[in-house]
Amino acid sequence: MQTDVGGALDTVAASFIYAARYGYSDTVIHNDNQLRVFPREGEGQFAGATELWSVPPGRGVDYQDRFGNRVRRLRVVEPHTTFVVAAAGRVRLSTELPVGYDVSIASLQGLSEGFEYTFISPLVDPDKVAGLAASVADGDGSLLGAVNGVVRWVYENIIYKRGTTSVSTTAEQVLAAGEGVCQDKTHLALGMLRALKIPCRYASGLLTGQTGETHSWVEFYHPNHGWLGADPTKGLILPPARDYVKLGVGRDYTDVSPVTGSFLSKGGTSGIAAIAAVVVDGEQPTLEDALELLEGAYVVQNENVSVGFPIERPERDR
Amino acid sequence: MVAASAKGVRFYSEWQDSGGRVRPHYAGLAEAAGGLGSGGLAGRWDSARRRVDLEAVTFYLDPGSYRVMPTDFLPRVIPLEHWETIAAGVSQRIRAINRFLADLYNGGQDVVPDEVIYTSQYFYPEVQGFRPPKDVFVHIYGVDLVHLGDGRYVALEDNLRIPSGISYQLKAVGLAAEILPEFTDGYEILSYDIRDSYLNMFRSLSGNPEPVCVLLTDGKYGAAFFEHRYLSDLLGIPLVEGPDLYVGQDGRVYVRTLDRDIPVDVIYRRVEDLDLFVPGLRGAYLEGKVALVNGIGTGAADDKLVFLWVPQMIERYLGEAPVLEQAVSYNLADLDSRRYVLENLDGLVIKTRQGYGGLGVFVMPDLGAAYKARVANNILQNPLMFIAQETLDFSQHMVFNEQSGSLEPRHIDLRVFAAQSGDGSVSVFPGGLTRVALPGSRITNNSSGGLCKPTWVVR
Amino acid sequence: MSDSTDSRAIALGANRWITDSRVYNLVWLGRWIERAQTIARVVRWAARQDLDWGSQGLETVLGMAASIRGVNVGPGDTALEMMLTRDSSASLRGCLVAARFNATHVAPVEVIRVIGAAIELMDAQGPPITTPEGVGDLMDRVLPTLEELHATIEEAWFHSAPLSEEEVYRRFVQQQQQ
Repeated sequence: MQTDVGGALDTVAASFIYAARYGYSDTVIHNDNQLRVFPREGEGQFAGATELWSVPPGRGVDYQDRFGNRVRRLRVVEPHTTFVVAAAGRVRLSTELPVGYDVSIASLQGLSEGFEYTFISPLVDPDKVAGLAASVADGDGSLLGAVNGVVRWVYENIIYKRGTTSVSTTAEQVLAAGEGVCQDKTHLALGMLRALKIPCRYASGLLTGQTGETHSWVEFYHPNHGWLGADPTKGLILPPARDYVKLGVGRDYTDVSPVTGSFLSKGGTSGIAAIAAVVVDGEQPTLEDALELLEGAYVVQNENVSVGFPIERPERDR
Repeated sequence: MVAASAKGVRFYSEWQDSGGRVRPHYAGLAEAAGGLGSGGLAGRWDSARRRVDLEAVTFYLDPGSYRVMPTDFLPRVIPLEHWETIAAGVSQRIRAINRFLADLYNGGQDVVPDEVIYTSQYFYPEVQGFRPPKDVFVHIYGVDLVHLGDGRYVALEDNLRIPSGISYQLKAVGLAAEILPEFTDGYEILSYDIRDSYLNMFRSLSGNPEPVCVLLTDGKYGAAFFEHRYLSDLLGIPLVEGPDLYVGQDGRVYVRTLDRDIPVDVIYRRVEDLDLFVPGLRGAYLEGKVALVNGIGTGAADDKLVFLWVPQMIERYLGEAPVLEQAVSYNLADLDSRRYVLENLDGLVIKTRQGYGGLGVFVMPDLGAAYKARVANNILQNPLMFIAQETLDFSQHMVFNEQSGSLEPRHIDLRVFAAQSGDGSVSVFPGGLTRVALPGSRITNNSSGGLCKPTWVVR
Repeated sequence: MSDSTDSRAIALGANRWITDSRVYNLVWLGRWIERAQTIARVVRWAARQDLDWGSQGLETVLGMAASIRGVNVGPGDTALEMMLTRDSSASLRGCLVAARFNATHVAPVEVIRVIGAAIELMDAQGPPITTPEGVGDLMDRVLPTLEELHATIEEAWFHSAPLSEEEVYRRFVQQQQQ
């Protein structure tokens, strides 16, 4: 097995697993998903080989979305009541600390690179958090000052708490509730940064050395250094690249959720379990490793995961 | 020909020229209508409506709620020279689209960007590697055209899954001939026989020289059930519902009858989600045990976003220049296009990518400011779910208004149907279904409540 | 007819196979028509009783018809609606509408047309019906249309009309020649 991936000198190898199991209360006739579980290339990360399994296997095709994520469209038409998807692979992570010199926010305007990431998106409406953003940002109009102000504010004022928010909670709802998980903190920070005219995107991935849930953080655009990280859950800006395995970026969670899709069934989802792990210097993981890990995952009951792809009513003629 | 006037725009009139003179090919109709007078026309319309109601010529908007297809019997006349262009363009589109689908599912097309085609709800990965007879996926095709004037017909939308409407086309022409016999005086109307075309096409899809064919319907409450029944009668093939069919031990599809179970060779299916109606039917088709009209996975190409690339398909696969223009459209996933669209919303039509029947169509010039802002917001949030098209000032046709007793102009479009056989040959059926928008609207779809009209192609 | 249409699919014929869905629609078509006729007869019988109805006449009459049919008229309902017009399987109109749906699946257009004509009578514009006589008259118009259904089914569907003498002779000669 080729384990030496990537070209940078100062890197560390790591192996990762992402696995999820969806249980349904009745037979599913078809299950159509977009899987974003391949490691991204860039920003201090070098992707190695990734294997992707699913049960039932279904049929799939890979493509790159407009955010540069590798996506597998996987459609399962075998009738089933449980759907398991598992991805495992290797990456190399830069051990160098990211560097960013401060610039003015004004110097970011009109750049085509960040255009996609400056507007309203399904879960992030900058206008709804603009007032707070203005009061929190350091007033000198510097990029790092603003990011620092926003990230610190979110870190200090939004209590980390599970179970009170869902995959469809919006940035302003997080602000109103004052609590949430990493996804919620990321959304709120994104809304505030966009209100300050800073192009920024949602990064989804895993935390090195941890087993458990997936993680999310912010990436903001710097005219000289490209995309730089900031983690409102940890209260860090420019965190070390080696701490994160990045699976995808997008405007918010809806663009980059590891598994999105829809299914056709008389029933609904009866339980969802998802788990992620990153081990530094680990062996290339196998499907068995992934399934074993999944056994220990916490099962969420009745969470609605049908985000993209609305199912058209089948009985209508065109 | 499309000139601005008092309230916005003056549209091309099919009926009369800009000087108010009735166009030559409408002279006979104008004379016949004048001869009857408003009272006479109202009487004919009344009896026609009664007939349509009694004979259940229906198109349901709510499943199970009886509603007849509203029809204006004043025919739309297409001169033969216009028709020749239309027929050539329609034939070109279906051939190119079929080549594209064969390429998409067998090896990889590079005409449409990956993200666009692979995010289409109707792209089915499980069809990859499957080759239907002679690589024809779409056998029955309907394309929506509008007329900008003087023979400029523009394609708005392809319908490749289960296009409906041909029965209303035939019924409207038939009823007009009976109800308004004097209207046909002096016209030589092109006639055609869809029965032979359809049956020959079915035959070309099966290894069995005398195939057993059935029409699979979603049942008597379905929107276009009238059409299903009508075509079953016309073609002489049994009308079956999902529970009438099953996939047997040998993988073949059988129809249950009181007598015995009969293996089926060709299913003219008028339902979308096959496995929901007949479990295992999708698999039987992909294993080559039964032919389907239309095939599976055709919707990947009638996605409104994929529509943008049909001219390139024609150039690539047929090596020809497109005969028909099509509405200038924008892919909102493309940043430059999105910028342009957001800055020029006022002149555009926004359509949801996978909507149909006029649902999710927003004609921006016809909307209020608040609504426009909402649409703009939606575009920003979900750029891949919409497409934008330049607004077209398309033609109007006279419609008889029974209340006022006068002829009034309304926007019309034209859905033209074609069939492609397993041998590759294409029949384009002269005329089409002319659909009439509600007053003040440019949305003509029958699902949105528009009328239909008989359509003649005249020599 | 051209050669090309002479296929097995055609020889077997669209309306020759008795599929499950045809059976279903045939059974229900018969049931709905029968039920419509029964409702119409019961309502007419009640409306023609020579009684002193008073001001509540219409409701009393139709209430009687409803109780014969086992239809429960709730506090917010009127018997007129329940028995005649409401969109439900208890009313005359509801039965006819249901019958028409079955007929569109399975019956020739002549049968669909007669059911449509009966619905048309029920829907005819005019002053609202307020008296037992009015209801009785309406049933007098609807019932013959329902009777006509029997004849239509026999002629247009079952083809049971007797042959003319000429036709019998023509067929006899044809048979001899073969």
